[in-house]
Amino acid sequence: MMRSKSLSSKMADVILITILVLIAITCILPPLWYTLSLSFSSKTAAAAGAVALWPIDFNFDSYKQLLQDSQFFKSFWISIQRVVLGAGLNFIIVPLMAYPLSKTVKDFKGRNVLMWTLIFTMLFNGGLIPLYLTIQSYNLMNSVWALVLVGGGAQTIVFNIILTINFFRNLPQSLEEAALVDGAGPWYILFKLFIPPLSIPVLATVSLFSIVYHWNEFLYGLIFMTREEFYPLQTYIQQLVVSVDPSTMTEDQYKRMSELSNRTLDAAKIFIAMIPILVVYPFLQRYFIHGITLGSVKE
Amino acid sequence: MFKKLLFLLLMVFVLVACSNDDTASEEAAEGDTENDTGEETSSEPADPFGAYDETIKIAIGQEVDPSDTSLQDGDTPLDNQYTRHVKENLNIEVEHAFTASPSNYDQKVSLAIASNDLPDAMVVGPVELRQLVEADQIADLTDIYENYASPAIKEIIDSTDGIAIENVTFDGKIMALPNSQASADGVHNLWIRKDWLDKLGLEPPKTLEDFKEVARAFVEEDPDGNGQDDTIGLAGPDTSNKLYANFLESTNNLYGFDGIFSALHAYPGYWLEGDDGQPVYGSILPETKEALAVLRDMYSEGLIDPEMGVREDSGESIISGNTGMFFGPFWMPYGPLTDAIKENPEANWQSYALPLDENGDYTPHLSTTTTQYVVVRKDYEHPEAPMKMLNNLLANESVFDPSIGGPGYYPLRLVYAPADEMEVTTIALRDVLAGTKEPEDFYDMPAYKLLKSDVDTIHEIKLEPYDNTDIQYWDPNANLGQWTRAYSALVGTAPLVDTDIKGVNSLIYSQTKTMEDRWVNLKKLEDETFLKIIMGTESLDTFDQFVEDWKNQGGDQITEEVTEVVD
Repeated sequence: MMRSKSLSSKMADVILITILVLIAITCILPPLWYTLSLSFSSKTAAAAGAVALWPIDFNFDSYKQLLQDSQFFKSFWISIQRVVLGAGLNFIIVPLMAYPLSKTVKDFKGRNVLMWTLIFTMLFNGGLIPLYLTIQSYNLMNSVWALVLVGGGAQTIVFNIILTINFFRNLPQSLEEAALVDGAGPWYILFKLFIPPLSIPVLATVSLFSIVYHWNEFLYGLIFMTREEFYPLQTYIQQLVVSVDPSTMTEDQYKRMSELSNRTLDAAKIFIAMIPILVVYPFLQRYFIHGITLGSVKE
Repeated sequence: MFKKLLFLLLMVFVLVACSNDDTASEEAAEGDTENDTGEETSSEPADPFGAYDETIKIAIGQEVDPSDTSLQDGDTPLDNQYTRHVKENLNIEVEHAFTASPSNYDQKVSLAIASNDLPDAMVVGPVELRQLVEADQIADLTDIYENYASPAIKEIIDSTDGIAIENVTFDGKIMALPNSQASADGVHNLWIRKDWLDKLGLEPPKTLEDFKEVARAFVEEDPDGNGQDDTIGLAGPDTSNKLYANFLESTNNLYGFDGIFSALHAYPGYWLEGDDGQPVYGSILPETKEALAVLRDMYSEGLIDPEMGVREDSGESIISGNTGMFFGPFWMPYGPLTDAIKENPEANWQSYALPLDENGDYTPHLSTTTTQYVVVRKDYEHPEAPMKMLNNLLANESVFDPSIGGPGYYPLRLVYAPADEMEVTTIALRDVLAGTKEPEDFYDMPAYKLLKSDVDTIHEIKLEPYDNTDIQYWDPNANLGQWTRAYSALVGTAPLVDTDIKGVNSLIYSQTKTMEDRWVNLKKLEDETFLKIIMGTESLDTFDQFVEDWKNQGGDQITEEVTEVVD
């Protein structure tokens, strides 16, 4: 279908895009901006809920305090390790599994058994306690590998594999056939032909999924780590911002509550923790839609 | 074919799961029989404070508050003045099986229980204690309490009239070491902006009718004088608080409606003695319906914070000076009030034992003083070690310097405070201010740990006239920490001292067996129904349906169990 590029339709495009962008901004920006304002405000103003759009009593105290918090940086480092290992593993496993599985049963006999096994793990799991016991008997407690190998990390990989399978299936068959005729084996086809040139969109997409997952996930950090020093960043932040039920507090706890509650510092930490994802996102995002939709329609 | 395959796979998984279960429970059983002899292994004579000849280790679950930055000089949660003291005095080396923040601690404990991977000792709440007893995972501490508890601890425990011991006794055995804390935080006073009352020419409300009038005046007559319609009569609970304290969490409910319920003799969430002498749950009684009707009217007239139940922190509007009244325990200066006077030094928050019931009596619900327990793993070799650590804590609490590490870092810390701690403090401060007693008269009361510093510093922060506690007769900036405490005593606790309290206790403060499965749902049903009734989204008669549902969904069975426990 040809699109007529008359003036009025261009105008309509501009208006539509402006509206959509505005909606996107009003949805996304306020919480970010609010957190930022809060982190620059004074403690009392924050506790009174007086901060709205602009910081009140602008100061850098929270960031100065943050610099002295060694646990924040320890956790930051653990999160980076987790993302690098998790996304790296994802990057290796996903194409290696997706390529054979993108073949038909004719080419690869065990394909369907394997496929069902994968899907089974996506739909069912043993639950938290068995997982905990497993990790414990593998001696992975307090290790970053516990976060990389299990739970949602593994599930993200399965999802990514399915996405990649569909992507591979949509690549022109004739390309692979031509390569086969020229004497290329499956390894050569996968690593020279498919990766990197043809698969950049899907690899960028699955990496993004994996990075975002590993950066944001906090529950397993809480379950598998027995001490704060091993917490990844989001677990560390979660324990700061979840409010404590005062009815279970003892005398000395509520006596310290007012001295310690510090929303401005928490806001500063949350904001710093958002930065890595904000930085990575734009670079990978341009492949994003391409990566998902290319695999979505079968011809 | 794939369907068959999937089925086969499922079967395999089910089989594997079953066989795993079996071996796990067998292992657990073996572990138990092996280690029943744990107690006898220590052949030393019982000495509550005696050090071990050889260093012993104890792996504990420890709550660590991530925002507590009081540790100094490279100390860690595992190596600080408290753990060193325990090592030197008792020769016990503390290790951490796990640590967690206050908000996550319960989850970690549940995980440890469910996976049967317990630390040697840890602090738990009443729900977890019951689970541990039923799963037979913890040691019988009857002999240890008898032989090893120090006289000071026994004295404090006895001051609870046997309630503390009753809470930890299962089939005649003491299964855990109970704490005991001041009873003042179970009474929810009415806090009012007295400067607003004065400005509008009103008196503190004696009856519920007066109370409504004050709330109406606070909402409509612009008490803060800024010309805007932005004031709230009565604060409502936020997302982390409840409409009223209940028998499981009987203390420290902030911004609830406890005072209104109890003025109408409604005690929802409490187990009461019915007209026939049998236990009955307060939430299903007609008095509760009546109280809900009152609250519903107040809400629809705009006297209660319209944003109740959705606010993240109702303290915000107290600090910012929009709220005129709320219900809360004596320690609210430790809560939002410190920030409130920083925002507005004239915010004159005063506390009253009001509103009264129709006979003119103050009839609040009362709390249990025991909320936390130390439990010891069943096969731990030195089950008396935690008891010794607690003896050591109480005997030496004044030796520690909280400024280089908060008291929460003491391993297995339980609060041991006499039940009347706050009331005694209030009376002592009054005596010192009135000049009838000297600070030195209170130096020799070790069980009241903070009393000495309280009486020593009171003249720094309280200005004349000493018998007027309005905010202008204080100097908070002279010593904010001490002001917080003294204000909690002379303002927050004063109503408890000056009023003849006709309080109501719950028949029980712990769970029964059926509650383990059903209580979460019943509680949810109750909370949602009541909130909807108050906010007007459901009719008042929904209450009758709720009573029906509550009984059918396990309430009747639970009531029977409570009857058994009480008899």
